[in-house]
Amino acid sequence: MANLPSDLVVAGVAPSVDEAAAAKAGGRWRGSVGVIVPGVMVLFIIGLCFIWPIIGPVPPPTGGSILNASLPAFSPGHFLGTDPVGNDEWSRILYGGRASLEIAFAVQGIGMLLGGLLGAVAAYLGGWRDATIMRLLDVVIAFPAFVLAVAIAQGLGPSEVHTIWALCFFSVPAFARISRAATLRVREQTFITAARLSGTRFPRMLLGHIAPNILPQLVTFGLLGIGITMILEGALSFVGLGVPPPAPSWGNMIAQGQSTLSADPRYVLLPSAALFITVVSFNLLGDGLRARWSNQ
Amino acid sequence: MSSTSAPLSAPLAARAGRAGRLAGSPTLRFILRRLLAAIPVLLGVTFLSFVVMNSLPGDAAQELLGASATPSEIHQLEVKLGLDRPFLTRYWDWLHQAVIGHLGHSLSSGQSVSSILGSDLPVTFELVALAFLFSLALAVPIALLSARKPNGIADRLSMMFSMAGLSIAPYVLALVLVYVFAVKLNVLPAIGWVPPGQSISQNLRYLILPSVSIGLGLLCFYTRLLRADLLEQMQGEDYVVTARAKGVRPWRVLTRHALRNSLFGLITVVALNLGTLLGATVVIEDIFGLPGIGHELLQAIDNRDIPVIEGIVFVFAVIVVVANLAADVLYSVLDPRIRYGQPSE
Amino acid sequence: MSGALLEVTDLRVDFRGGGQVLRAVDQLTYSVRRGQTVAVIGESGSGKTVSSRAIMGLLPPTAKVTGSIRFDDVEMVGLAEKTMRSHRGRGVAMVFQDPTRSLNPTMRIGGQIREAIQTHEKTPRATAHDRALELLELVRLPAAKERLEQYPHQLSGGMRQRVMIAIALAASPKLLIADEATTALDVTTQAQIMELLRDLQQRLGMALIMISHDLGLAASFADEVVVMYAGRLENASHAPLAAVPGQPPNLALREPGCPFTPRCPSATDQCRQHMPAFEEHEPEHMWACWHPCEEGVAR
Repeated sequence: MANLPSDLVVAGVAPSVDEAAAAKAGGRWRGSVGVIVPGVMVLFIIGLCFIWPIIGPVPPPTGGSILNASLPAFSPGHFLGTDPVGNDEWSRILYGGRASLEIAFAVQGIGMLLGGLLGAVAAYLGGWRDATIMRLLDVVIAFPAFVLAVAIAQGLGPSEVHTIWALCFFSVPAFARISRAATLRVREQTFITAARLSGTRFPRMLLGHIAPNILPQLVTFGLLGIGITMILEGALSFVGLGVPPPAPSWGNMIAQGQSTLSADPRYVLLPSAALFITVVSFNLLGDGLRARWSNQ
Repeated sequence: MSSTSAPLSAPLAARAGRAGRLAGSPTLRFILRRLLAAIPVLLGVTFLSFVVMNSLPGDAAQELLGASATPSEIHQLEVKLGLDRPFLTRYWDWLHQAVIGHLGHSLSSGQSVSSILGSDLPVTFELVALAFLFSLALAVPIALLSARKPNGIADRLSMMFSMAGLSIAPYVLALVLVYVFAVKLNVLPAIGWVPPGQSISQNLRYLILPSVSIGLGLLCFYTRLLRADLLEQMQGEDYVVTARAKGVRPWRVLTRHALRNSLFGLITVVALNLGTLLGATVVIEDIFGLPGIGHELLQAIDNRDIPVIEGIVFVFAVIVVVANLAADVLYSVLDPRIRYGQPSE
Repeated sequence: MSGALLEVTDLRVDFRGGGQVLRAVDQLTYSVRRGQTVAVIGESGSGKTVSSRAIMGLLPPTAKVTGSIRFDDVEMVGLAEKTMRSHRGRGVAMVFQDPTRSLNPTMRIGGQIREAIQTHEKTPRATAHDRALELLELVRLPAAKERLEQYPHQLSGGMRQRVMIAIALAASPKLLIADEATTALDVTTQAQIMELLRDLQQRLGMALIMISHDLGLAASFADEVVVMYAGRLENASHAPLAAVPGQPPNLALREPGCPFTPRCPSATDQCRQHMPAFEEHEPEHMWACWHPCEEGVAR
């Protein structure tokens, strides 16, 4: 197990030996349930946060009137009530989700592309190039990324885009490690040697042969990382980075809610519940896909 | 009893044993090589943070004097603090003092960085240690119970709960715990810190909620990891079949055979976690008002207190490097295959 | 035939998986008397290992066992797991193929042997330690005292296999199953181990089932030879056997007829469509074939 890249460790989910076995034993359908149910959840959440506010009757998340402050749940027109400055809480949850999800998708996407590419190239080329890239990544990993994040917040000012940059500092090296380990394994296989001997050039090698074989691992890692990124975004909100209020993100809603925790815990509990459900769904999806794909 | 090979093998075996106990020269060489490779990493990390901090608008002088200070006042203080010298000079100054252990003084308080670290690090360490203790002490029995009957009731329940536990953000858990135990039930304190020298029981009381906040996620993670490894051993390894063929009871096969082999992997993971965990303590320390390294770091960034930041970054990086190294070394030292060397025949 | 130590009758082992059923062993019948050596020969996939695991009750939960296995007049098929465990090691013991992987790498040799002893009898550690030493000497392991404190990887392959045998003998079993016990060893060591097994068998009056794909080995050591093919018994006798070219069949795609048809020089349509029954056609010689070759001649 020493071979487990530390980032898989950070990713926080372990390989499930028996899911594959159960899927085998139960026939074709058993394995799919683990993917379909969370998959539907994920799609539902995405739809709710991205599409519903556009087409449905959702009031804007900001600009509320102080006259409507702190209304309880199920008040007319505000089914989750309002926040201390009068904004509709339900709307804040939806728009907050959108912001958090946007950040998570962007960070994981960039990580997968950049980190994945970096790791695959390093592993494939090997030698000093590999060593150099890995050393550089080591520096990034040993660097307390929180310092960087806070520094960015201080220096450039908090914003959604800056949050994405700061979080990429975590995701790119993590993906690079996974991608490198996966590529090393693929590289040893005979069909790679065969392709090499027949003169396949490097870009095609990478795209046509290596990428399809490491993609499943990158995708499952990415899905499992969505949850982590969303949680990290929340942590950053606690220290001043993240989406700047009044625009909501689940992270900054939780951080802001801390001050009214004893008086009205729902400002913490509602975004926390939303965050929890979303993270669980993505984790289950990632886990289910991994069990399914390792089966084949 | 005696055969011609006995006289030859005895001294060989003894030598291998002794050398093995000394961790063997290959292992020693490995450690040295890794430490050497760590030096550029440490340089890189400290230099990088130096660059970052200096690129930020404002500096310690400005922070100390506040918004109403005049430019000349600020400049005066900057000269006094040595902040007007060129960038690389300042880095070199810091570096060549740091390698002999002189980490400088805080620009805002004047206190020596070493003493700041000295008072803050133990707090963070205690927090992290308790979190690990909590998580490992529970993870092992839960994983064993799960692996005993895969897909049984205990297993399904523990997998469900651990998935949930993994999906909770530590700070969310912290706030929920504070709300339940401190606000509503009023049995545990929400904020504060009592040093162990003063009162151990109070010290632990203040650390329960924070360490559980961090520890729960770890618990869930380690449980899953250990369970998966145990199952792999039980289902895939030949020595398990041998044990069963001897008539050994399944529980004993699990605890005496599989667990031994799985614990190695777990310990490695724990060592790797140590590095990443230090960063996670920042928010928790903030929520619970613990005077640890994370808290100190946040303040220092606010104050643009570069020596303090460099000191903390340096220590963090060293810990991460050492932890990664320990993970690799532990694995080879604990595994008797490597510890006791080659077959002696 | 109640004098037999082991009686296997009509043994059938099916594996369920992915919606399919794989029959690994089909209508296997043979018996082993006390002190006798029986060799079970077959290519890989013939079901020989599966059948021996069935005797020990060591098959995975996906396996379904039907038929009868009577050991010392006790029916093993369908036996409660707890009772089964008391037989393992004490009544029937097994030695496996790969001693490298069959021994726990993180446990000392002494500990592993002691476990075999203490599982069946409450023995204080010191007594078990002495007995372990005795066992190692019994299997002629040099420097036995030092070996007890060592780990498996510190021993060579042949030595590890001796340790495995010592472990198997710990509770004085009446039947020892050697599942390809010498396959992973070099020829010289192979011979040594076989000699050891034969010697032990005579000294202890143990019955021995040798599972192998090595015909020569079987012929020199066994009193009786049982040949398996595609899970079925094809031949049981003392006559010499020769290797046949070709590949074993895919057990998942079974044909109605004799599974050996594709490789048989005498195959006819009858063979393709009808499965021959396993019967005693001559004294002490049973086979399942529509067109058996003439006496002593293998074509």
